[in-house]
Amino acid sequence: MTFSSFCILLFLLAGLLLGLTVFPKKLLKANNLLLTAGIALVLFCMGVSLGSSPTLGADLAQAGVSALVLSVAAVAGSVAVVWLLAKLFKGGRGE
Amino acid sequence: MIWVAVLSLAAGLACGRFVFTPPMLAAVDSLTLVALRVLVFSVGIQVGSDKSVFSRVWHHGWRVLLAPLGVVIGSVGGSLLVGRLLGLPANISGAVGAGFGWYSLSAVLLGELAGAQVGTIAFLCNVFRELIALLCIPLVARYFGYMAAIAPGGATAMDVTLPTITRSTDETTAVLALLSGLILSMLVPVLVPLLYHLF
Repeated sequence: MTFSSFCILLFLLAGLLLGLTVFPKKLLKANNLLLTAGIALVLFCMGVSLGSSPTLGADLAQAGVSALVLSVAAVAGSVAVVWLLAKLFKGGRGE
Repeated sequence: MIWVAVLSLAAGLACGRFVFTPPMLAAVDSLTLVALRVLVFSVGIQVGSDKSVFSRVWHHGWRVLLAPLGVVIGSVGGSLLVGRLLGLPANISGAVGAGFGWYSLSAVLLGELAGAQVGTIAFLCNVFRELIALLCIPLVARYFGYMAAIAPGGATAMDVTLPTITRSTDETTAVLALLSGLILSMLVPVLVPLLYHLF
């Protein structure tokens, strides 16, 4: 694990602890806003880095095809395994 | 939310293509790192503040873990399998699959770890996952049972796809879906970097 992703985990953990303990409920709305702003900012940055690539068109086409195939596989795999687990551990709810 | 995301990405693309100069591009790179840390911190606060989750998990017992466990195995397994066919490295297809439909966070994490190209795959893949989930949940509920209907949405089962799941199943399944989405959301920032470094 690199230093950078270790840092990410530390920040996540710090947030979790803060949320579990002393974070005031009143500020949750503000936190939600920060979340949205942060996501927008980071996606903007990603767009900049992608847009500055000289092979932009080919990059996007390749990403689109891979993304579509991966998403179908992830959904199909999830449904199959959860269906199987639900069958194995029957006696369950919602059947 | 999805429009905020798409517009930000599009604006960034346009700026990177036509507006920004090389020194500005370097500044944007270091800004990304800081923004990412703030973002993940904020995610932690949001998840940690919902304390009612813990009592509900207690009430439903270990069965709560069935759906998220299946989604983790199925998503990562399925992605690894087709990733091989696409000629993608295993660490990338596995990590993209572990986004569980949370396109913004997984795209940001992988953009940082593996570059903008992989970040874009993660973004699109998980946007597609959300769309596919919204379309197929009613059918999955009908033909594969209520538990399986929790699976397509992945982490989005706690917000975006929850209304569809609730409409297609019953109250108990809706609660299990919410909890599954929460557990998966907490796993995204852990599993994405882990899988990326594992393979």
